[in-house]
Amino acid sequence: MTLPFDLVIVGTAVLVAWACTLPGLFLVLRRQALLGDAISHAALPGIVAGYWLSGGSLASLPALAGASLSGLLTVGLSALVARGGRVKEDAALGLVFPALFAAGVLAVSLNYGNVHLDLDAVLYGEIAYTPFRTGWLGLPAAWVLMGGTLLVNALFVGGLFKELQLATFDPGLARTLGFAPRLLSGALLTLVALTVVAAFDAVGAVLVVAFLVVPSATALLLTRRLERALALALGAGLSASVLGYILALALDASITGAVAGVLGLQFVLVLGAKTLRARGGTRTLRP
Amino acid sequence: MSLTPGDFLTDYTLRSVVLGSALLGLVAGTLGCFSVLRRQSLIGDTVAHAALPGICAAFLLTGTRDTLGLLVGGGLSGLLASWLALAILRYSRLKADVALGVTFSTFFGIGIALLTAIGQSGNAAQAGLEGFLFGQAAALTAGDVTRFAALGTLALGTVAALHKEFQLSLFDPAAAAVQGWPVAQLTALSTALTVLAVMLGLQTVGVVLMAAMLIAPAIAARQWTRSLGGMLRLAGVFGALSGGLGAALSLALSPEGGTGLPTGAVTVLTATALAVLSLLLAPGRGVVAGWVRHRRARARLRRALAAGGRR
Repeated sequence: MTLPFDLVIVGTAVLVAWACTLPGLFLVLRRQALLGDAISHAALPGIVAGYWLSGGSLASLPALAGASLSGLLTVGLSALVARGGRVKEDAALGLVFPALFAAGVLAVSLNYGNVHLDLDAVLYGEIAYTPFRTGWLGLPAAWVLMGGTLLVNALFVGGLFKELQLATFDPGLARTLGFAPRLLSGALLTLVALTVVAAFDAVGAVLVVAFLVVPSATALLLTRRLERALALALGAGLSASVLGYILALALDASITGAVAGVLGLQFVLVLGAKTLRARGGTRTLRP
Repeated sequence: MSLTPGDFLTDYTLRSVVLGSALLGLVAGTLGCFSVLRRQSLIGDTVAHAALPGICAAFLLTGTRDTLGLLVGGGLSGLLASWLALAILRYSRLKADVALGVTFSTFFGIGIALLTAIGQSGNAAQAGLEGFLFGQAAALTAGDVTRFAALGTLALGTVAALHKEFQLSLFDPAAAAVQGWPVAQLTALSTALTVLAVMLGLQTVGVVLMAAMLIAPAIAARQWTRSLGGMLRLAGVFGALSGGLGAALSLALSPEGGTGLPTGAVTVLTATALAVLSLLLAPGRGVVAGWVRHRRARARLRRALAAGGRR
């Protein structure tokens, strides 16, 4: 079965957008919006370890497993540093991921100085190549990978929506009521780490970082209700995928760049319209 | 190569690398305090990535890989991105990390599009434009050191001159506004100084190191002091120490005949080690001090309970 190129690429973009948006909305609400970028750098030592354990092959499975473990380590270590309130969450993340990345760089230069082993070699998929990788049932490999990720995320967020909402907005109350917010946060962040690494493999880091943050940020400008924000964010991801692809074709530009650009443009338009409306409103009140 | 401490004083290259890294650490460590305290720690990471479209645009305009032109272009787009993030914070309820994330991914995406366009144009001079973002191994010259010193003096001089104003608009923006200080402009200025520090280091040490050098010294310094002035000075010292020590270690520990340890990575790890040690050992706020306090309190309570039981 051969699907049209356009359909494969736009379909992949939408699957990645939705798989990232589901946990991304909660990251945005928890001040952890930059976790995706942090994991994209911190994955390096895990990739090196995977390379070493698999005896020097650049096969993707050990590397991806290593990258996921690095992602989890990033999440766990920054939670440990931030615990007790000595360091704020954003600073803790900023302390942990450069250190992990530096350890990876050091390990590469000490052991594999003459091998081309870096993030580009393993993690940076390119969405334009997705039609050429076929997986299960003749479907595009990226569809299988990201469709599966989306399904898992949808089950998690759909099944535990109330609990996630409570743990995000009032962790104290959640603990008092016996909902184990720590465990839930751990599960959410684990899911983020796995989603991010899978999506890196499919479409590359830039698009993943954008999809984790921007659709949810745009939606949260428009509403204060979580269900509505989720629906709007999914819509923003869909429209940016389609419009971005059309723009990339029209300008003969990079698809990743165009989709990320359209996401940013949507955000700026919504923010601008909102700000102008708010100004107009105050002006009418003046005598 | 095997080095004696004396080599660092006499050898031209070694001296430039160590001095340049220490100066970078001093400037970045000091300025990083503002972003860490404002909960915008990852602004260095954002600015460094957001420089990409500016670097590409400068390349497209000038057609050469002239370092100064690219740095100015990158600096301008980094500045634009950071001010855009401040505007998002001002005009919406979104938090700092989200504002940074939105500008980060948009600018970097546009940069990737430009980079691809440059690649397609087949211009021979474009080779290595990406490498620009990730830093060349310590190739600092005496000229770089002079430039760091001049721009660093400018940045730190501004902080010293406007210390009081920065402090008030950082900790109590409402009070500063009531007193008539231009809070938004002061915040924009201290952010612009951070952008300057990032652009100073970008070419030599790369994106991730610059992100770390803004954050780790500030975290370390915060554990030892409660005053902003003290924190700024200590963070400068910690930054300079990790820059200088990291550079010296990477040169001294290089295996015989090897290509040398990457200076950036060793510097990051040195700064992280200082931060972790400070978190553990600082008097008062440190983990160990807290643990001792907890043990003593428990012992006191147990004694009090025992005494009460006997009565």
